[in-house]
Amino acid sequence: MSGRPRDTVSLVAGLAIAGLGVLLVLDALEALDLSLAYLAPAVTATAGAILLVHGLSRSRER
Amino acid sequence: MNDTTETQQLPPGPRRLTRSRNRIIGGVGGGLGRYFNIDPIIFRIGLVALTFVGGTGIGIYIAALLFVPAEGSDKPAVGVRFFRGDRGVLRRVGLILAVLVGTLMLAIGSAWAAGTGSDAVVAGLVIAVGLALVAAAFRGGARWLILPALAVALPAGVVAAADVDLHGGVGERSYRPQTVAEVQDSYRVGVGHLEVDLRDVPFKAGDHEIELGAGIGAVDLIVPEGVCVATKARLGAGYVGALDRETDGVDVDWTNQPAAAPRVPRLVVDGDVGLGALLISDRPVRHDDDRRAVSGTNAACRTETAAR
Repeated sequence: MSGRPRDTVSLVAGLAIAGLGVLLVLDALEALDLSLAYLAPAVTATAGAILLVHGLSRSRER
Repeated sequence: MNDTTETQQLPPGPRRLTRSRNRIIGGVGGGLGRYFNIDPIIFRIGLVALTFVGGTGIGIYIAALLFVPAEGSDKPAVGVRFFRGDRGVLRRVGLILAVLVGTLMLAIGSAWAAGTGSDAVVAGLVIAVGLALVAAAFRGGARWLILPALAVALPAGVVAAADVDLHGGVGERSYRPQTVAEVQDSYRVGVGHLEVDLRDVPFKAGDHEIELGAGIGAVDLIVPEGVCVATKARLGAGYVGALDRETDGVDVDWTNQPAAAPRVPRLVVDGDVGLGALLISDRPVRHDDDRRAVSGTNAACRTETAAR
């Protein structure tokens, strides 16, 4: 709409980071008991998603 | 034809070590392989193996990245240009250092805020930055925001998940009460080392409750002989050693509640450590060697229930 291409890396990173933020809010409100056993896979998945999309976008740019 | 003949007759120049274009990371293994005319995989395996020797392989690799020029480049290596005072390189190194320091400060600030009761604020900030990234994605992107966003989100996440409470200040705390009246109900340190030595306290029969806490660090409790010790410990991640028993791991919730023998005092310890160790011993705890840090038998207890 704005004429600029959509940046998938920013989009995926933003969604993943906002998702982490939602987990933190739920923990702060005691609606969820966040533990390291749950956080570690969530963080790994976030980092993996960002790296994967970054790698795919780079290979597309080439 | 003539050209080819002339080229073949040129004396071979000195062999030059460069980082190869045939690279996995920085072309160091490939460059060494070409220089010594050996399969690069030998150097790659060697560097990986050396990484397990105190990180030597990583040090060598970083040094090679900095001081060995890239193949086909007529410029000296980055490290050489840095020491020659090349302004472009100095500027780039300065920028990288500034980003690293900024990221570290953000991470520490985020962890501190989350550990001192502002966890909901930090969580809101993480969501806001995430949504800003989503919005920016449709306007060309803002990838530079990813690093600061992660620097805020990850430490706050670890602090929240490990239930790290950073109240209690930073540093070394040491207490050695002499009487039962001097023993406080609760001792804690935010980040650091807390030692409570109760060996001089003449406990009388009955239960004596004590709470110990640390956000990040080690808590040592030294107990007098002839006292039965019951322990309840919660750790986000770390180690609990209570006299003759121990456990470790993440999300540790450990209980050992033996009953005291008749007319024997019982110390009921409630320990809460975010990241670190809770150590209960009948002797000062040694933190500087690989031997088991705590000692004691808890023989003053009548029956011991199984630790969970």
